[in-house]
Amino acid sequence: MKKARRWISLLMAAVLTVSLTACSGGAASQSSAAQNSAAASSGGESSGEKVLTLSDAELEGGFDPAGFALGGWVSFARLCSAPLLSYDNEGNEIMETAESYSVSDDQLVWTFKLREDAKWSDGSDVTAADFINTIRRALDPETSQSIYADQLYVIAGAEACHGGEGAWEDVQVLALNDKTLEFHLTQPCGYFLKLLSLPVYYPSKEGVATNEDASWATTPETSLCNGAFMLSEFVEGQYYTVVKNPYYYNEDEVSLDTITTKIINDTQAKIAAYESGEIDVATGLPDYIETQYESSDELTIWNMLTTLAIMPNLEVEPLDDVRVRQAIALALSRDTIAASMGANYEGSTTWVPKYMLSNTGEGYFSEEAESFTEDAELAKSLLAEAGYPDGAGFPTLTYTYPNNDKDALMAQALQAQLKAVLNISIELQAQESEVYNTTKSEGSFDLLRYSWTADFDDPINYLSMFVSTSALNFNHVNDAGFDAAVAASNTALDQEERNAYLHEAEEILVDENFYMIPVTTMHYIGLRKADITGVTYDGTGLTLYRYADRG
Amino acid sequence: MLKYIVKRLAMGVVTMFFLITITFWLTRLMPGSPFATDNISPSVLAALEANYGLDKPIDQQFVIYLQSLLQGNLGVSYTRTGVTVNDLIAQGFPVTLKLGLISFAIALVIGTVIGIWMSTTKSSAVKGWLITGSTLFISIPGFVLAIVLLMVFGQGLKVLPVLFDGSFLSYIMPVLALAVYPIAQISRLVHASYTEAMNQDYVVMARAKGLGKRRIQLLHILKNAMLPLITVCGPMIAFQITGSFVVESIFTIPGIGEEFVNSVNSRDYTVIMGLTIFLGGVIIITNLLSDLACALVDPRIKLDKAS
Repeated sequence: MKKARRWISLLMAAVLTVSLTACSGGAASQSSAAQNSAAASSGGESSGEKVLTLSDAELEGGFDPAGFALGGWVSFARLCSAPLLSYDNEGNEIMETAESYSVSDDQLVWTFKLREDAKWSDGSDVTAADFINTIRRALDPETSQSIYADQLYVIAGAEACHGGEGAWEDVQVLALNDKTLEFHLTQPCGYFLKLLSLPVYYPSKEGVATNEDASWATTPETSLCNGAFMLSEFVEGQYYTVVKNPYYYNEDEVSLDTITTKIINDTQAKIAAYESGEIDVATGLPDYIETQYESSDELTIWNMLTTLAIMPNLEVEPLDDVRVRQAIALALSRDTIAASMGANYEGSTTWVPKYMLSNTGEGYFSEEAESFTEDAELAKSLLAEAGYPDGAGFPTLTYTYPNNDKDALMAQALQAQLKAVLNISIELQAQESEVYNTTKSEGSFDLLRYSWTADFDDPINYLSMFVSTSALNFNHVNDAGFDAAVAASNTALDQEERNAYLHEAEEILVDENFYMIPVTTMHYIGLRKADITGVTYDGTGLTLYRYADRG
Repeated sequence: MLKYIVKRLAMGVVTMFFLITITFWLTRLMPGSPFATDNISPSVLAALEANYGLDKPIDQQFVIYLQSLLQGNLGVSYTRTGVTVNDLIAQGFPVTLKLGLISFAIALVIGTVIGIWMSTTKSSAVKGWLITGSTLFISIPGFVLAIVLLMVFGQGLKVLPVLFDGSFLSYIMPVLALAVYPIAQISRLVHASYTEAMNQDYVVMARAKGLGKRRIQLLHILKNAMLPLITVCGPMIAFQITGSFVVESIFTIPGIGEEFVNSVNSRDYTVIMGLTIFLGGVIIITNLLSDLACALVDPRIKLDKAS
């Protein structure tokens, strides 16, 4: 008995000791985080420093432009990296690291002159070789981790190099001297300047940024930045902090000293942290925030270049009949569907998103805003014409969508409307997102919820995927007229002419053949403290804080 | 005793091997890819997978994985460039462990006290409330409580920080959210075994001898009533440090729970494998320790024969 008592007390003591040492051990390592958040928490100007705290859901991928660059890279690069040039949300060109560019008459050779004062955050010059360093690493057939490597294929020799058939030496991106960069393209590319916003066209310091050891990108000492800010601290899964880059060429225009981006996955936590003042900006919020903050100047709403559509499998009967596809497209009441999904959704009859800017400075669809109109009666007669009067004999098709709230609401609304108008039954199939991705790429679906968000601000980004040779052409569109229109737009030397071809392509894709059935587009809801000024937007709707200020 | 421990550890190794094999095959058979994104082209996806050796036959991948595992190398994360799984565990586990142990220690003390109170109170009203309370809290999931706490103390009253930063104050809400369930569980367990022990002959005997009330409670009843509790302690500790996924996500705590959930969603094979192996090991060891503790406390339990 005595022995047993001793053991109990020992056990208790052990539990206590472990929990106590755990307390004290953690305290030291966490203290810097605590200080950091105290300094960064709202109010903005503790000790005269101008501080901003942003939030982001998990940082997907890494910070290396030549690497696995996803949302995490976008979050970082919009603060710390400067491309050759970019576009604002009115379509104006902004020269960044390049001070000028020229293009040959045949539009095959693009030459960029870099600023003399373009520097890395260690004071060294940004050179043409640094841009080439990213491209070389993204094309390396053995070690590339870039998901955008195929966007480099417009450069002569790039596709062969990435596929392992050609040598890197044959890729026609050249440093004429330290400050002159030249691209030789395979064919004229009317949207080449828009491609420059993709990670693979950003510079990464030669000799420092390598594929072999990826840790350079998140280590402040080796993460060299050429943008308004530079990395000062990175804590995996928690937050990262950037501070003003003294070597940024436009350093005078930068007002904030420090920006911390905290990683908050949970939406409720994000709203709570915003309201308690622990973060200054919250994005990607649910639509009830729009009502709750209706009259507040903290509410920010911006249009996304996103389209949600139904992709019909053209090899499945009766979807191979254009009249059936058209009947489905015309039977829907998109505003009702959007309303059921939330205040931040809006019906759309165009595949290229409504808010896409055109390359001539106007809204793409304000130029010729024609697309099909919803018409339930016509839909019924089209279905009857196709051999299914009032839905009689129409097979039960499956609609596959990723398993999340919004897509489920959209699916239910679609199902109800098709039943009510056309009297046809759709079976709903929700799939976990990765399973859905597999279904999509295997083409094993009847009707599929398809969504696309612009990689860069040009209509071609929505159209080139349906060219018959494209690997992203999951429903096997094979239309010579469409292919010709897209090809013609690529080689058109004049932007007006190019736009006409792009509109023609969209018409063939949607209004004539209903290869795609657009349903909704959406806007983003966020909250931002009212004292934050100087926020700008880029062409894809991304919020930029480089020239932001407080008070 | 030593023989028993060695035997249990050997069994643990076998269990681990099955765990590794099954998990490895399941992760590879799940549809999807760590590199799949909305906008990726299939050829680029294939090239990326090839660079990580994911185009090799699964059995070959398995052998390669086992080889590096034997060297203690859990591999690199596929979706987060430059991050090794060993680092993820080394950074995340101390946080998760600390939260789990603090909340468990609190639950152990409070749960035991409430359990004894339930058994010894003479007021049927108090007893009724305590039993209702423990039933209620055993059925409220931790994450619901977490969100309620977050909205009341973080968003509403603004007395506690919403975002976890390692400070004392930021521990309060997550620890509370994690402790409530085990408090309810332990109090019910202690209540049951304490009530049973109260009516044993040796307690009646002790009372008849005229021993003090406290002495009887602590030495004669509680000690015997604790045995079932020690048995469940191992699994409960394991649950506390592996079951905090959602609470970690809500309070943005950089533990391994959240990593686990994310890795499954993003098909980050190496991270799924690494965390499964690690947590499997933790569970095997805590179960062994709690069995040993039982044997030490109760001489009637003979481990060598029992196995």
